[in-house]
Amino acid sequence: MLKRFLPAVFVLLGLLVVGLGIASATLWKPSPTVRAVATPVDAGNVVITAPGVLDLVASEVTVRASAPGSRVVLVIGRDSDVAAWAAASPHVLVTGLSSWTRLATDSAPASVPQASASASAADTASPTPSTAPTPSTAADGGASAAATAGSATSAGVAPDPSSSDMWLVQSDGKDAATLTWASRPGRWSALAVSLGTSPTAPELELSWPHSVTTPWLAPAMGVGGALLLLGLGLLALMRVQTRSPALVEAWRSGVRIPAWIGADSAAAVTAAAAPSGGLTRREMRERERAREEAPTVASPGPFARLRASLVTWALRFLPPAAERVAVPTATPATRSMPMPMPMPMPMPMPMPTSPGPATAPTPGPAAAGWSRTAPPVKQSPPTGWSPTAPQVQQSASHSEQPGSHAQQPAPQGENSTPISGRRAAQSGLHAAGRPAMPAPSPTAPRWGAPPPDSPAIPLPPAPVAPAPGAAAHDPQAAGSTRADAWRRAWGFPGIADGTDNATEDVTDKEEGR
Amino acid sequence: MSIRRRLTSAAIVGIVGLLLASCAAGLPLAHPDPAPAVPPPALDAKQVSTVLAGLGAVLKVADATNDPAPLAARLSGPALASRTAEYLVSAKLADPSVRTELPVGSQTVIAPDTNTWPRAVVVVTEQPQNLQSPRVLTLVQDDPRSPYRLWGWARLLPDTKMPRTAAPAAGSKPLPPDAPGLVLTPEEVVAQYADMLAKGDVSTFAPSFAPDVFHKQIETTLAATKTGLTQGLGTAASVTETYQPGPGELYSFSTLDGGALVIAGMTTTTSLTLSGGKIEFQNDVAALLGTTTVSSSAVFVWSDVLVFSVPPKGSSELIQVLAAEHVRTAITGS
Repeated sequence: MLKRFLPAVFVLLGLLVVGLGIASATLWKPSPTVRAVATPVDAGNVVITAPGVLDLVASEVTVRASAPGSRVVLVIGRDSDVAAWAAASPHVLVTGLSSWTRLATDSAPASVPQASASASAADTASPTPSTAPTPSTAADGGASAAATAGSATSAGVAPDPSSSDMWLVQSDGKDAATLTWASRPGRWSALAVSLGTSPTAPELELSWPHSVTTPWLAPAMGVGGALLLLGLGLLALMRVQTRSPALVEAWRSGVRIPAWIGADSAAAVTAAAAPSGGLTRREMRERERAREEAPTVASPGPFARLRASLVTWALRFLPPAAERVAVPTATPATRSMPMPMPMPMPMPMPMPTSPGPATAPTPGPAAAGWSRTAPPVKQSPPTGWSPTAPQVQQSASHSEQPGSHAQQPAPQGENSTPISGRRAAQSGLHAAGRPAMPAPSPTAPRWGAPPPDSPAIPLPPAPVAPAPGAAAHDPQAAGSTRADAWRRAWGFPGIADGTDNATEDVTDKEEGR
Repeated sequence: MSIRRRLTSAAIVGIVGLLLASCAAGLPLAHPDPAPAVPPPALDAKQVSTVLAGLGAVLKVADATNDPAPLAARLSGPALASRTAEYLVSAKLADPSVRTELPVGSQTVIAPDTNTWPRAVVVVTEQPQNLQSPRVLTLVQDDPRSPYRLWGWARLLPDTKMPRTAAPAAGSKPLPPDAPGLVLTPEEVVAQYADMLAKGDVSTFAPSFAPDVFHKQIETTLAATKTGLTQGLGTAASVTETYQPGPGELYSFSTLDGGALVIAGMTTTTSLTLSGGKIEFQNDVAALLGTTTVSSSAVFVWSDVLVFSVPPKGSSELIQVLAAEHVRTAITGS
């Protein structure tokens, strides 16, 4: 039972991995900046950074100091200058990162006697009003005194540093100040001072641009894609191998044929389900009945439409041979595509000369059709199949898999029969693969059945080189009639007798899509 | 089938692993450049320009009104005293030319490699517009929260050449007053030069110093004063002059040849003593004195700035006075 769901599991896993990969490069892409904040501690109105903090994450940093309600001065200078300047006041020292969003801080007391600091502040050209009178009792006051006693705190208030000549860059502003700093040789520190009536240490925010890589994208796409391909391949194989009549019936009932195609098409659909090569009289009768019973006005049920589009979408991931070859010929073609891993189920290879174990039953007509098909195709190997390409909806995807294209004719070339080109391959595959299919084939409508209004359908099958050998498939008149009707429905002239069967072959594919 | 199951589980494990791996990354630690054995220059060229521009702005404002009040922002020491006196004279005489012209464009910068205070930067300015010799400006930062202030200026003396010093980007090493490795320590240089000024050629230190214009001017001025007093008052008047190196006013930098550039402050005091008669002063002296005549004594205080080139120890060269300034900052008398 697990075998049934394994492909789906693979597909889901593949989608999951691809999704995760994409998410890692988009949704979960790390922020291009690292932003860390130091909140004010109750230690003066000064915040400085230790040397090395400014280029902690990247060489360019944006420093922002904010203290609502105060004027903020932000400068950067040599670490010794900054430390010496700040030493006269209790201050906060930013030592590094405590997390990716927080700065680690340390409180430092005023290490220089307060008197000298205030004296120098008074000497400056524009001393701030609060710094002028300083109680001498605060001279010995450490951080504890400064932190607890309000008067001591105001005594330790640092003056405006912007008049100093030591800074390399400086910035100031109301409520906040911002500057950017590109790392340079040496040891540098930032100094932020808030200047207000009751200043507290400003909040310091460091932002670094962070070179963001998406290391998981490519691996995830690769792995996920491989899983997806694997699952789809398994899925395709299982469509062939594990089909149940009940499913087929369920599918058939979901397929409707548009009125303008008419009963012929309905019959063709039914016919396509069966091996077109060996219709019995009973089958013919059933076809006739189906034609009569087919609804004349209908459109494909939503389920069928969805199914078809899903399948055609999935077919993008398969080698082009599988895309091109409409069911029922698609079935053997699908088998022929190289699988990423060996499958336990029998895989009859569509070799006309050495049919797989499951293809044994009818080598006769198949071989005949094969060999007769050969000559005309051989003369136009690459272009022999190109006219049929537009019949497939996913013609655009062909170019995406040129390698698969190249592979397709290759096995044919290895055969003793000198056939190359798609047409030959199809007919050969058709013949060889058909016996392997348990009748009735459920895959015919399932794989084919595009929405009847699909633009791909109106393409004429005419360019396909008539394969005289195809006559061996079905000598029955019913097929001829049906194909003729099909052609007429499309506005093409009726078919000559000699090409009936070849056209029917194509028609089968058309209908089967 | 079991193989596939294993494959499936391996894929799931792989995905989970991918997710987990993307979350694990250590916090970076601060890795500053190691603190250099020799501190970098305290100021780079741009900062020196800023300091000089600030000085120029202050001077411009103060010069406009001969008001010394703004000077404190960018001047100190002998420079502040000298400029204040010059403003006084300039205001009284309504003659701006008595002020020393101080250009703030730099020819040469000697930036100190230091982490301590006070620290000094020496700037050799462009030639002033009055075509006097360039000034040697010494700008001093007393402590971390102080600006650089012009501590003193000196005029380059004729026929002198500044010793080669390191580029400002590299910086020059400041030397302590007792720095060894020189023919004389910086403080000895100033003391012995003062002694030589006081005693003249009879000083035991005279052979250490090359003849210089400043010394000659001091001697000439003093001799002229004596002559004038003798002519006018006979023996009733006497004049003495003392030379006192300023305490702590000494800034020294090593030069590329291993010698030193020594900048020193000195106070020259000229005392006139009268036993009779009176002396009448005019112009700038009267302006500083506040009156025109003294009958008993007068004391002239000069603020001097001297710049020496001191050869390294073992050198046969003499100590050379490169630049000097001699500005009357105060006159008292009665």
